[in-house]
Amino acid sequence: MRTGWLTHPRYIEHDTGQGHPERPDRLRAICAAVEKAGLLDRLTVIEPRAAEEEHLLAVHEKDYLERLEAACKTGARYIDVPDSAICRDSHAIARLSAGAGLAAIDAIMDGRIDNAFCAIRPPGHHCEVDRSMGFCLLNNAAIAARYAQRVHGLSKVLILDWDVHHGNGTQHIFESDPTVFYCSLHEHPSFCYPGTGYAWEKGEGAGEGATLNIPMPPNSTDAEYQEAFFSRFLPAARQFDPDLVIVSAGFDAHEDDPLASEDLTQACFDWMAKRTKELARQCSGGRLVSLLEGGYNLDVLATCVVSHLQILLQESEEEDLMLLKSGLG
Amino acid sequence: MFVSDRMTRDVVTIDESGTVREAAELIAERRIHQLPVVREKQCLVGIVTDRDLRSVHDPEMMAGPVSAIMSRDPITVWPGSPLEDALLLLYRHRFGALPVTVAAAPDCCLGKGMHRLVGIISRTDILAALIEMLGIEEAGTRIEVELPEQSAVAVVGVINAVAQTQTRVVSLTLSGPRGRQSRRLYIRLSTIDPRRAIDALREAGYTIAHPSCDLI
Ligand SMILES: [Zn+2]
Repeated sequence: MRTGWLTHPRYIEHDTGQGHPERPDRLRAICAAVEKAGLLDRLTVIEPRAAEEEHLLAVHEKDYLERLEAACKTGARYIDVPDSAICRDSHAIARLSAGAGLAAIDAIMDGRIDNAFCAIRPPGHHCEVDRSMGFCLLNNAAIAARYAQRVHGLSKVLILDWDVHHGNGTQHIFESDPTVFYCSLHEHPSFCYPGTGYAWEKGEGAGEGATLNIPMPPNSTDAEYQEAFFSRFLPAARQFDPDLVIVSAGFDAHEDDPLASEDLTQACFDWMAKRTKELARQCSGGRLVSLLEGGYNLDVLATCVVSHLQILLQESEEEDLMLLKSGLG
Repeated sequence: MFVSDRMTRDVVTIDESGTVREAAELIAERRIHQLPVVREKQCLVGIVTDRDLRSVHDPEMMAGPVSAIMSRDPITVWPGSPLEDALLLLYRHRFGALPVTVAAAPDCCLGKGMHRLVGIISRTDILAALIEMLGIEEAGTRIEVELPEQSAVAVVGVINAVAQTQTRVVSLTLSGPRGRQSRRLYIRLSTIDPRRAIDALREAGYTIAHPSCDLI
């Protein structure tokens, strides 16, 4: 497969201050590991661009965008909540982070690549229409989904969010929209930030049924995640039959991640990536854009991303064969 | 927080001259469970509930006055009472809602010492207030801290530890089994990363309670 690799040296310049878990080293670790694994020759390198204002406005309120820009300019240390640390360049870098998904979608639609992974920061899924939350300055996945619909006419978009935290922002943005199916697997809201994503949150009005929350108890294992993914997410996703699959790929449900309490191993992230790729092949002509969200243990993050990329690169025939052998097909 | 902060002011009522059938229709239409019965619009004379109405089958009674089946001298709460008073009354008497009243003017149609209806407070109003007090709908991470003793010093220790980390607090509740020394402090922190606060608390000698996953 031709897999797009989108990242940018400026992502490292988003300075969140000392001791902040969402730190530049995350991307340094990922990039070093990707290079070391010799993946750069096999990946199609695509340069992200800054997301244009009109595409940001398809998701965020103008007021918020202005607030974000002004906060960065005036040298504020954070916007809205101390979690969402910023520096003077954060506004520009956040636009570049949101723009990676757009460039990836363009390249898929031009036929240059089949799928893509965007190694970006700041992350996006907590960001609401009008305010920042939990390290997120712009909702990257939501901006990409709207862009795919408006610019490329892909009518139905599936956003699968396996970051350990519930993507409150993404859910709220598409809550009453039946054309974007938001599904999240996350640590149960009673125990983990942000406290939303109960199973009864299923979308509103016309969007009822187009939100699927699968809260997982603390210390859930690979097997429990796989069971939930297989029996609850996959059937709903197949029924929705998306034209594009976007993954909010956080790797913080890993057992060694410091922020949450799930017990996944890399094998589970690999397994979910394979199933998701298969789903994109069946429904969306293979169109899949994966966007980095959380993941705060540097070694785990780097290893998981390398493996994620290897799975995206795999030819489908190869994959089928492996599945047959492993008995999972 | 006081009853007046949480009560519904625009109360659906029925005049004491109304019929049982009219009361039943009002309760069904307005989707309520309790209907205060009044004289001259605001003097409280009684209350009827959907349960009272369901027990009426006799057509003659249905056409009769609602005052024949209402509960007289209902238990009421004062708008200036703390919300806890309403909570206790609703809990102890298993009521769905309580009329909120003040003393009627001396020239009240009912005579001296009667109640003028100014609002109604329901279980749902109380639950909404509790949700707000606990900050459940605000973004954050919840932690439970074991307190070795019930002293203010122990509480201050927790607050100091959290304050060191400059973490915002959404809500803070102290509770524990009655008659026991140990208590728990339930804190909701406005952060995706509670580690700093947890580390500071552990360093100060506190124990963080963990959920028992077998029960989920
Ligand atoms: Zn996360």
